[in-house]
Amino acid sequence: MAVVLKVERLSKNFSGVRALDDLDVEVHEGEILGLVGPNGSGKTTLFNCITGFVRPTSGRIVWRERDISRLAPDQIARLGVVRTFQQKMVFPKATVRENLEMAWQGRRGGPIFKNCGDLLQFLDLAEIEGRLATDIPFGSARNLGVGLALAASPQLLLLDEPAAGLNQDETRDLGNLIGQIRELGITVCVIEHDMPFIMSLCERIIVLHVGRKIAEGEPAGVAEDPDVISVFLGEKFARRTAT
Amino acid sequence: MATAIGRLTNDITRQYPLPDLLSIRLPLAILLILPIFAPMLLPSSRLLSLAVTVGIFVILANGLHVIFSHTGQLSLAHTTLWGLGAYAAALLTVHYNWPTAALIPAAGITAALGAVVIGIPAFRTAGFSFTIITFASAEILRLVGNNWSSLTNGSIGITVLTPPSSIGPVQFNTFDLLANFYYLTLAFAYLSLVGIFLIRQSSLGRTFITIRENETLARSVGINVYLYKLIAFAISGFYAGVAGVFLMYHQKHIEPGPLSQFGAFFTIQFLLMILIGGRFSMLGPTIGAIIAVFGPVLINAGFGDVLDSTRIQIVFGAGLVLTVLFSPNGVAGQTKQRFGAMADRLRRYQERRQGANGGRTA
Repeated sequence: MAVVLKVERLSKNFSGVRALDDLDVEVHEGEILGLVGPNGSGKTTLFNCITGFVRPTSGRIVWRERDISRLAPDQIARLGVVRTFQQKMVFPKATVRENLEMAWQGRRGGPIFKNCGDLLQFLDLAEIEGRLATDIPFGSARNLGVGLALAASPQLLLLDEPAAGLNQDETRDLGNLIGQIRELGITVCVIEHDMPFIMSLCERIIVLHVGRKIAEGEPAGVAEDPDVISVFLGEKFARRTAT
Repeated sequence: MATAIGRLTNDITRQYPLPDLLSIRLPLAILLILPIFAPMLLPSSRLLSLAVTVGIFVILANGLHVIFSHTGQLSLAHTTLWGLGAYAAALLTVHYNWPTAALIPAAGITAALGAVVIGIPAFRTAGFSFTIITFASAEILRLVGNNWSSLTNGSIGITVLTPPSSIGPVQFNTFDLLANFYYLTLAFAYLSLVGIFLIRQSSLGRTFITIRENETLARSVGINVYLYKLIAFAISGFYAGVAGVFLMYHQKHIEPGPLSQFGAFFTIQFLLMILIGGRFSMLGPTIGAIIAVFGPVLINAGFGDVLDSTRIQIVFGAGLVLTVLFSPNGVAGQTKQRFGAMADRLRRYQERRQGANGGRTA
């Protein structure tokens, strides 16, 4: 499969703290890529660098043969790389529909959905389109967050912990939604802590630890990697499983 | 609330029964129609002159509305841009004798360019830093006006006695034909409102509000926040420049001293007008401008014999503070709410009567 996004030797220092350390990541066209790792391993920083919200200290980010590491967030979004946020991010004081209409403004090129109504249907938000975005249920707010990104017509969608705080049913629905998004021809990259969720969702997983990549590959293989087990469960556990 | 204006306009275009007519159309209609009769209703030319000031303030406040209320940027350079427009108009009149029809776009564009020049560095920052930069730019501009004597006549200022060019037989001499000049100003005040309405309805206006509501999110979905802030600031500057032309004709003399209207401090008065009138309403700035100009006059009429002018200002100021404290959506928001409640009562009353009638027939 063709590589659409290439992160080359990316480093990011935050006043002495090395959040990303010489990281190489490739995203393939049409896949659902999982990005896992303990807290502070640099997952969100990687998203921030790719989408231009944070300037990398060194290294390059290449999107479809174009270096985007010095571009502004809105330029990158218009090139088709769009992210969601970990925390609730909506336009307050506006309804669900108005939120999507507002996000519709920045788009370049043809929309993925014909109109806001279709997008609302797709996100299963049509019934609550008239409610204020600040007082809809948590699960719907998460869908709205994904919808705001979809309104910007992404080719690569970066989802930052979309399942955090969702219950089992909601997580399953989210998994289906992400699957449908991929069916639309959008490449997806997901940060997630929920291991069963990411194992079932992704074809490929990258594990980060203190800003470095420690494992990469199919979910089953990654789950058995001794390095990964030691990072998530401690060295002792890793030794025990190895024997 | 962001879309209260949108909803309001939707409401107007639809047909409504009496209670809703009362709640939405009546205050709106009074506010929009009453100014036409001002020359007949106001007993003295001094009051009519104040009405002209209201017209100028409405244009100016509507301009500030675009950058402050829609885009959410607190600029302190607004009245300085007003001054820029007024100076451009004055210089073009004195040296080149330009007609009014040419002065209005010229002054508007000058102030819009001024806004862009201030905005290019200022919008690199956000929040307080942005406000401070606009404040500093405003003061620098005013000081340049004060000291570049060969161009601006320094602190003496420029006196312009040329009246606005006549349209056919209609003349606008501000000395003895003040009513005509009033109508000219009023026409542009209405135009400025139409402009606000069109901006609010367009995708441009929606983009401005997107920036106000959540800048980071706006960026993440591909909106060029920097560019759209500049556009909003330029539009706001254009309004200020146009208002500058009318100020020049009305006041006949402009000067850039520390206490002139062109300093950054006077902008705060306009921010207050918008807050009092209603930040989220299309007519908010208009209402605010009327209150700011005629409020002290009314207090003077009522308590003039017990209060001197300084005390009137204090009473008026206290009134403003109370307004902002108790109705955060301003007079416009409050009026809408009150009339809405009244309409509800009326509707309930009608329903009860219908219910009673229904009971009798059955």
